[in-house]
Amino acid sequence: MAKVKLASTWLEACAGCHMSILDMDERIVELIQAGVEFTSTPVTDLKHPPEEGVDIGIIEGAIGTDLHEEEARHLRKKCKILIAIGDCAVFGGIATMRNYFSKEELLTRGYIDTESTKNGKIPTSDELGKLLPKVKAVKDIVKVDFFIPGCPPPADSIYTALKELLEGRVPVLKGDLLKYD
Amino acid sequence: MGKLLLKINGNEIEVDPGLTVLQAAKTFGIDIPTLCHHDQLNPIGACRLCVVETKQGTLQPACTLPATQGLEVETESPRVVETRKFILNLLFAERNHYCMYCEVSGDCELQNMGYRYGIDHFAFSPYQNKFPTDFGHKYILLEHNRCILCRRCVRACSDLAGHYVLGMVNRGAHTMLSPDMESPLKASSCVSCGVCVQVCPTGSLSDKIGAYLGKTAEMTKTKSVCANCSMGCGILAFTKANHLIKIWGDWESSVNHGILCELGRFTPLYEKRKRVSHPIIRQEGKRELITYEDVIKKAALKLKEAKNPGGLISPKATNEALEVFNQLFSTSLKSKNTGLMENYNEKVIELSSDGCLEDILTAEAIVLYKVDPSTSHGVVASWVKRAVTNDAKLYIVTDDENSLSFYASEIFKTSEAGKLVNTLGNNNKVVVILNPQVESTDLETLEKVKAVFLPLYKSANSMGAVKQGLNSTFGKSDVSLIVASDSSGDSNLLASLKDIGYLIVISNFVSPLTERADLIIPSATWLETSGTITNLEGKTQIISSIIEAPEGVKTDKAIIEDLIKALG
Repeated sequence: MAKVKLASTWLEACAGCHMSILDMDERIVELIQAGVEFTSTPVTDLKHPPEEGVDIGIIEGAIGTDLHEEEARHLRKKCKILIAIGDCAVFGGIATMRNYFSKEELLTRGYIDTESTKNGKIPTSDELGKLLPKVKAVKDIVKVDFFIPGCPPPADSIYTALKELLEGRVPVLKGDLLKYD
Repeated sequence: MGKLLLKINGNEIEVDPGLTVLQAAKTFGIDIPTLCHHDQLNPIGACRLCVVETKQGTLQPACTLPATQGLEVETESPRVVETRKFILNLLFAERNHYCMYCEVSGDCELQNMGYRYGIDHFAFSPYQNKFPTDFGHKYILLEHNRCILCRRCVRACSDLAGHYVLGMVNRGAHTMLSPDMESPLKASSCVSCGVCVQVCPTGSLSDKIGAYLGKTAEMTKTKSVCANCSMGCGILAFTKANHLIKIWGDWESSVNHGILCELGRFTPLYEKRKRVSHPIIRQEGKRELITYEDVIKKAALKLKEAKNPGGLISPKATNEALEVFNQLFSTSLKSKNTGLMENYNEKVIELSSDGCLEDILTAEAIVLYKVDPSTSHGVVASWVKRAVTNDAKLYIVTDDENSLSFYASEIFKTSEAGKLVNTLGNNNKVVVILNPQVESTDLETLEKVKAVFLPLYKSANSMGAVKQGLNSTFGKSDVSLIVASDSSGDSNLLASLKDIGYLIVISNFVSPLTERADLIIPSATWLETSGTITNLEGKTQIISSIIEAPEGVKTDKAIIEDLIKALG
């Protein structure tokens, strides 16, 4: 069977969705035996998807900075099917809580006004992403082909979706496989 | 009129006239999804989620579309499903419906609809505006970010409970739910009946205790009857791990039709009184714990030795407990010295023989005679408000403030009570709601009025006790047994206990009464007791034990039965 290449990344998120990917347990082996090749993922610790691109791209996390935006666009370019997993990637998630505050309020509260901080300062390194005015869902930046909501999404949902895609069907999540929290 | 023939999803069905398409479909087991609709409320077709497609190709809300002869509709056609998804996406986009933030996730009707129609992402980007929250109310959380403007709470507050506190302000996308035209809920005329919380389909209105204690599906539900006044409202209690989480009104109850008051819905959740947890004996001024067996033996011995044993029982005790109490004194102790912790004029009881709570709703005129039901019998106040809204006249006889004065056509001083007879002359159906403690001069006036009388007895089983002959006062005795339930005894009672040689108290809570007692026996509260109670209409209803009593704590009935056994 031809290899199906998969790349994943996390943006503004907690890594919980990747824990759910690992939570597929022995079914990860089953997917590998069925032809899935995990290329760049936080799990394999490879940073960039292969030059020639991948079949399936997976994004965990919301778009909070210009770097997130860039990475989402990059993976979109490199993959045929893009899946948003978890509430942050699908809806914007917990990170959207900051949408109700200005950037200045947020950074001051976080780095200077916190009760445990003395002489704090707002980080300014060029290596850091610049906060966007509002946190967005992945679909607000790039076209997303498939959504798996949940916080975290159930491992069964991720497995079902990948399995269905491998077998050439469009996955439909229903019942316990579709969860918002 | 004969039956109507219509076609739903290609099935020919016959229904009675006067139904909506939603109701007709339901009778045949066809499930049409709804959000703003609630079985207890008048349909308004606000959310449009229940749209169905007619043969002519129009989309109509099933909740308001009358079932008519020859009507043909499809309830899940591709166009209908597409429309429902679109509506759900609009609802999800409007405010903050992110389930992770929400206390009622798992119990939310909007969430369920999202799952049902496979909404796996939001088509339109939400979280653009932040809406206010109103958390100052003693019991209720009002979270505007979750509101879908379905107006269930508005309809329940006005049409069902008669309070007219909740309403909508502004128009279109700026529409906001608002108590008393933009007052905070805490400062509004809200009487904390909580029906809004019971009907809210999302997490917009929830109660401060229940919201954080898990999903309804994980709770045990028990149907019972509220014992906090004499109305006997049907309740549905939600418990988890033997903890009371929330209380709902039972929609099926013929007494309250699902409406409750603060006393019924919230007060039991905030019970803070200290329980009597173990039998206690006082000897030579010192209090000591003793075993249940010993306390029963000691109590039986003291009652047996007494020259004139006396007994007093709370009108909150079940009929079954009252029965064994009577048996204990009449058979085992051969004493007639028994009484009730409340006393009522026999003439008042005679007056009320044919009164029924439902009469209030259909009355032409209502009299509140020296009584203000709002605080003691909240659902009676609801019924009065509803009747007045339906054009009934309200007359109040009082020398004090009355919380329903606003609704009154006329208010009389008690000295002018005689004027009632003329004022009421022309009305066919008059209901007089009265304080059962009225004096004989009041009764002389009232006897001249042609009306249905409803005395608002104080306690859950006052009527049951009266029916069992327990309405006399409690005479002097050397050894007394008081079955107090949750009562702490009023100052008169406490004063009368000064002369008693030996006092045995069976009580739920530590109180001035137990402080005075020589023997204290802990008893189960009404929430932990099964049996029957008789409401103020004389209707006997079953109360079920909602939670288990603490270990070693028995019900009044079981304790009295043990006393009878010990007396031999």
